[in-house]
Amino acid sequence: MNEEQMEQALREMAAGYHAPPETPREEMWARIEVERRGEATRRRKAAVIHFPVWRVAAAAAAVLVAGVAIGRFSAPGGEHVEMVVGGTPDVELASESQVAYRVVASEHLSNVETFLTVFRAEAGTGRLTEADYLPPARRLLFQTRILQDSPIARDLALKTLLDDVELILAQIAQFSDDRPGDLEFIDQGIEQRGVLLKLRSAIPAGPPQVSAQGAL
Amino acid sequence: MGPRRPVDERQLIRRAIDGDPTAERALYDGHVDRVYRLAYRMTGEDDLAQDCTQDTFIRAFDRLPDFRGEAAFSTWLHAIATSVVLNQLRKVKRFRSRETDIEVADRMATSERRANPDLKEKLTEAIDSLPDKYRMVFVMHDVEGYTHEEIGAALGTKTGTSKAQLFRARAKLRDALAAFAGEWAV
Repeated sequence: MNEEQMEQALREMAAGYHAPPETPREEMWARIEVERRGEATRRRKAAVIHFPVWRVAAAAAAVLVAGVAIGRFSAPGGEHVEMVVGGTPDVELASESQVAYRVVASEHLSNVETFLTVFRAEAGTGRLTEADYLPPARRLLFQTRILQDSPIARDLALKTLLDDVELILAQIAQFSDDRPGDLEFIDQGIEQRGVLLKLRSAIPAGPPQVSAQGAL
Repeated sequence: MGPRRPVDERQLIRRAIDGDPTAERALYDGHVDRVYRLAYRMTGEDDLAQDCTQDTFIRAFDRLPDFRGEAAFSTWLHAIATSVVLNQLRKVKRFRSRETDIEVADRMATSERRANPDLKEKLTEAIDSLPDKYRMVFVMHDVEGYTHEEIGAALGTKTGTSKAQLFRARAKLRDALAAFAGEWAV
């Protein structure tokens, strides 16, 4: 077999590599519409979550978690600060603790998004065991509750998203291999609440990977 | 990936920027198949492919006012799609490597020791093991039929880089397969 024949054979065999099924275009469009309508509504009703996280080194996030925890326990009388809807983001961001909180929240939401994506992809295959998903689900649930309880949490949209995330993670943390039917329930919860799409909207894009006409 | 209906598409884009949902749907219909196919080829999983495709179009519609029309819409869209897919793969790999426990590792080891996988299966494993950027170039060119110009524009690299990466990807695949089938040896 010469080089050309080999290349041809390689291409023919490669055509079967991860052969895609028919495009589920209506299913995906329905979710895109829901997300875009929801985003428009959120923009009208409340301040948009807009994390300046790309300006902060990712390594700082771990340090700032401690800052959030300290803020939580050092707030006067441990009182919850009233949430501000439709506030002025510039003024809020002037507060270092607010910036810290948003950086940590953004990093956390990114981790949750990755976990839920992988969980949904693999849970139905039967390849996951409790040891695979329980520890990360519990860890993320704990971190979610820390963020929910923080007295410097002021953003209503973020609060709502954390509430959704907490509910889903709590379900996963209680999910058992013995009750496979619960999986469908969890999946429906993620779907109906549009949790993954909300998470992706809330997570800022990372540094640009390509430079085509400001696409990213 | 070239602009087959440039005039219509420019009008659609203008209407979509003005908030016309039917124009958004028309743009989606015109490009969703290629984006989904590419995402599926790269991720190998329907859920991940759907997530990447949805994310691509949501980002594209959000950023449509930034589209200056200097290149084809499909080129711009594929720049977003390839970035979304590569980012997603990075996140999934990072997560999986962090959460892989001994049991899973054992399972993978067993799988690798499986006797006599057929040549096609071996090729799939070899493609899977390529670095993601090489795999993207290989899949786009040899599997989905994109040109090097299209690949370069989507990945933000020069055409020569795309050719070089394809050459190296094929060489890696040949090496991987050579040990399996003697007649494939270089």
